[in-house]
Amino acid sequence: MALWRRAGDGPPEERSLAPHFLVLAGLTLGATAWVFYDELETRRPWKQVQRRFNDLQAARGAQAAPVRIRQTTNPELKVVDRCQTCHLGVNQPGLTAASVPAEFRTHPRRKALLGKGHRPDRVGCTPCHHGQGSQTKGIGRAPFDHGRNDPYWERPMLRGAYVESTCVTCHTEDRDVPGARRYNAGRRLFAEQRCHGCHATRRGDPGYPGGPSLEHLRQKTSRALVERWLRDPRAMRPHTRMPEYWPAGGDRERRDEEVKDITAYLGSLKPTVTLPDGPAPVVDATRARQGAVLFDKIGCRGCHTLKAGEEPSSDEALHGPELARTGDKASARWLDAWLAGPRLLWQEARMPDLRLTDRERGALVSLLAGHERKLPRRVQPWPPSALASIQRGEALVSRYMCAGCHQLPGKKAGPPPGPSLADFGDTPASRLEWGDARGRVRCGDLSPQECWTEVKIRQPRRFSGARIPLSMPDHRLTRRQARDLSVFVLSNRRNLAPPAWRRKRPEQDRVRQEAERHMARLNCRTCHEIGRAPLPDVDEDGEFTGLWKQVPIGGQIRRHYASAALAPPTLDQAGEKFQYPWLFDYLKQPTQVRPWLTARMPTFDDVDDRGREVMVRYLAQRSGRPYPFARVDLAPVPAKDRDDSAWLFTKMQCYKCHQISSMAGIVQADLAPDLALGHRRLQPGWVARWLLDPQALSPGTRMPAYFPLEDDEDPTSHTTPFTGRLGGSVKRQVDALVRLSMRFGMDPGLEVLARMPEQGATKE
Amino acid sequence: METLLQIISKPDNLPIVAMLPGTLVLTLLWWRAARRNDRRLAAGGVEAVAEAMAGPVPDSGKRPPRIHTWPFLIRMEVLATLAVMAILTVWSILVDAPLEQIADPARTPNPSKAPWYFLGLQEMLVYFDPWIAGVALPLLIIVGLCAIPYLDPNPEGSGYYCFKDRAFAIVTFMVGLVGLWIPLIVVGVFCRGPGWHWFWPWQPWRTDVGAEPPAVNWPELFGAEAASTGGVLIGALTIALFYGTAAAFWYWRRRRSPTLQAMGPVRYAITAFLLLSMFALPLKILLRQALAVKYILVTPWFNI
Repeated sequence: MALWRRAGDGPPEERSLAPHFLVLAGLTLGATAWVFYDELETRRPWKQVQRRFNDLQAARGAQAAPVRIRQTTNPELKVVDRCQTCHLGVNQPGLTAASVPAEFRTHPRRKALLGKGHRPDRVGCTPCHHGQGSQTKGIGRAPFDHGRNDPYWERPMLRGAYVESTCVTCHTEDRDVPGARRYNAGRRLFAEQRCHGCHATRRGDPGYPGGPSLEHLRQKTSRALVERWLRDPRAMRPHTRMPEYWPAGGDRERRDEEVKDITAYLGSLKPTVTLPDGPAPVVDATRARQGAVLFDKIGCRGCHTLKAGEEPSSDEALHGPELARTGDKASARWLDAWLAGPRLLWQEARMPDLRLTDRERGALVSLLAGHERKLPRRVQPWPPSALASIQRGEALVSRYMCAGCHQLPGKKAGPPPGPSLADFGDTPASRLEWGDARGRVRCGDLSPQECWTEVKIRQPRRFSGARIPLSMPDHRLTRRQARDLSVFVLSNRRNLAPPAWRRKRPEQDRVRQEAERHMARLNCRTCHEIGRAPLPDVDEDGEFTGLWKQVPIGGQIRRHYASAALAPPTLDQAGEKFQYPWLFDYLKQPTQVRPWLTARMPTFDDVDDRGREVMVRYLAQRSGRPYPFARVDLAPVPAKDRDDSAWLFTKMQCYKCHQISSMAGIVQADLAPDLALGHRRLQPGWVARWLLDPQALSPGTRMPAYFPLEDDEDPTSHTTPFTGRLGGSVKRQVDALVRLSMRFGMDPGLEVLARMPEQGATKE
Repeated sequence: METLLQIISKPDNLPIVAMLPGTLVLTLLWWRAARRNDRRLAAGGVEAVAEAMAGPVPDSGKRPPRIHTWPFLIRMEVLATLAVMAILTVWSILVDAPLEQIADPARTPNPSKAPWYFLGLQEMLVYFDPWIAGVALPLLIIVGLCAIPYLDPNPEGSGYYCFKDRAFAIVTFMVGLVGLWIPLIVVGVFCRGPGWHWFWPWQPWRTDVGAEPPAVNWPELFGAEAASTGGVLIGALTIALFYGTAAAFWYWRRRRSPTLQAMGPVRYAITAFLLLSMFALPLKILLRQALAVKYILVTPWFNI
């Protein structure tokens, strides 16, 4: 201790430096011990987790897993994942109970996903879920949070719907990713809201037309109306897709000023079409009443609603604009021209051709122009505007990117005018334009990037104060829609999986996705039932029962008709029912098949032959039939059976309902399709099934069932009431009827045969 | 204030935050010790100081009296080493090395700040071209520090703190460290935001600040084009005048000052050059802030 004795005056024991040395040495040793303790093997978080898992396994009576790091590497996908070091149960069946801690549970979609395509031992977890794959403990003393609590980690783990934003890393060819409902909904929404009018993406779905052409507003409507519309589109049409450029809470005076300028500019455009001359269409109450009947029956309701405040029967009924107070908006002359040929007024018009007669068109014009009012208001002439106002308006139209949706003279071909979203998913939150709201916006569980996107979609002016004036409009989306859209937008990332790991889209998927796209654009499902979709089954309390029920999708227009037989037919079995060449021709140029139907299949100009072909092909594929259609030429009924066939045909009184246009002398009944169409239109196998059990194929049909079941449980136990003919065999009788009916219109000999109703009747 | 909080709470900046009060406390401690020894020197000469430090000093017959390195110096160094080890170990456990975003050559962070101890150098880049601020001045600092033992003619004050014996050396050091180096670091840490624009600590950082007001060159203040012959002459003359003050001072004091005589012309020239170079920095800052002067001397090869 002499070493530490301090020099100078005073007693040595008081002036010793030894205590200083002991305290400092103790501190240094303690700190070193702390370091070693912190790094002790047993204190590693993942070991503790694995021990907990093994306790759980022991409680279940299952085998314990050895305590070790589980790492998946995949150099091609650049994956080094240790996720399954803790998530040990993810690929084990049966760990689904609520009592199992969340981190040990079986993957909720293990069966559907973790099979061949997404094997966790080959691709790991982070290609889909992102997160910190090689990390097994948290930052500093914080618990491990998969990169979500690390502001600098650019791929924090995705949660909830956002997991679906990574599917496209490998599903590069898929338009709809199987099972990714939120992503698919977002992608559709992006197209439907016409986001691609302003933003480029990697996987957009262009082709959805936007709003109407603005080139001839002068002819169509009045200046006051355009101003009223621009100020608040939803006041006029609650369900319009036109977004709001001056969202509520903004500067009203500026809005009115800008609206005035934009209107001035639009009014200054020279119309590119001229409306036909001649007297203006007559509008009167009688015609309007006829029009109202026609509107309900012909199929307009498939895409439009008519009355103000009327709730649409389905989303499909919002396909076209709401037609309430159309008379305030458009002149009768313009409406007449529109119904006569929508595409003359607007090249991209979606409105199909309903092949209206002049009379029908007049009635509908009366309904729309004079609806709810006695006299149609004349469209006011547009007062001229100041040049300065017009120029300001033109600048505003360009800034608000009106040409993204509307046909305008200055519209250029090329990339969309707004910011490209092609790499949006890679943009770190710090590089987003937060404006004055930086650091002030939080969205609970969401990452800053997800939060920004959702807020931007729902409140496009929230991040004001930025250098660039914000011009994105408010599309009035719900919270759920905003999330769907955000999932799609954030899925646009630069890095894709290497080609070998991308999913090759099978041909049938291509056909389905293409056809579904066309069918969505043409709104086929508003009239026709096509396919079934699983819907979660709920009990009386609205709780999910855990079961999914298959419900038909489409055909919502049916509720406007008295019975299903009077509504447009279901196309669910179209693939086994129709001959495809006929179906293709029918899509191109519809002809009357069911004379009793008031609904009219429109002629769709908005799709080309390739689109029609892919739709027919899809219907064939849905029924598992080969495509193209292999035509079977049925042999005529054997000579020895002819008499019996004719007898059956007469006895069953087919001609009472079916007309046979190819044959003179048969009653021109119009209660059922023309039998002469059959040989081109229908597949023989389907006709046979139809004869046996029409109700099963088309519930509510008026076609009588002639061959009742003997045993209700056995769907093949058909019996025939005509025991004396063709050996009393159901099979032979049906076969003969099919052969007979399928040859009407092509076999002259049959005419003689079928001229027998009187004879048949007299024989009895 | 949010900005200040963010700067202070950044683990990177812990040393500078600790250094500010640390410098103050250590300066005061040193000053107290120095004054105490000043008093002892006045009362009993160097022997009094040595006795206070190590007890009665055996007369070794040498002047000034010596105290043994072992144990008197080494044991203090051991204590200091232990303290530093304990502090660094606890610090390394409690505060993790700060990680930032994944490096990406296409996206540099804004502001791009050097580690705190280099921020003084980075701050000098505002006032000088990189070859001066980044190469010449640091080199001069290192060479100058190395040269001090050879330039210093003063044998007093070795082995103990005092002020009176070494007033010139201490004042020069305090001006260089506390007056120049640390303030430059503080400015770099606390007052520089995106685009290296000046933000007071209570101002939020913004990226949309406009450009700085245009700067002029020194010769332009006299109506000469900076790169013209006249401009170069004005610039060179200014610099020559600045360093010429040292020669003038030598000429004026060489006979009367014992210090100058002890140094001799060579050591004096080197010392004066280093000292004036040090003061060139605050002068240039002053010129920039007051007169918006960018360069004194503009040549096709280099600018000062």
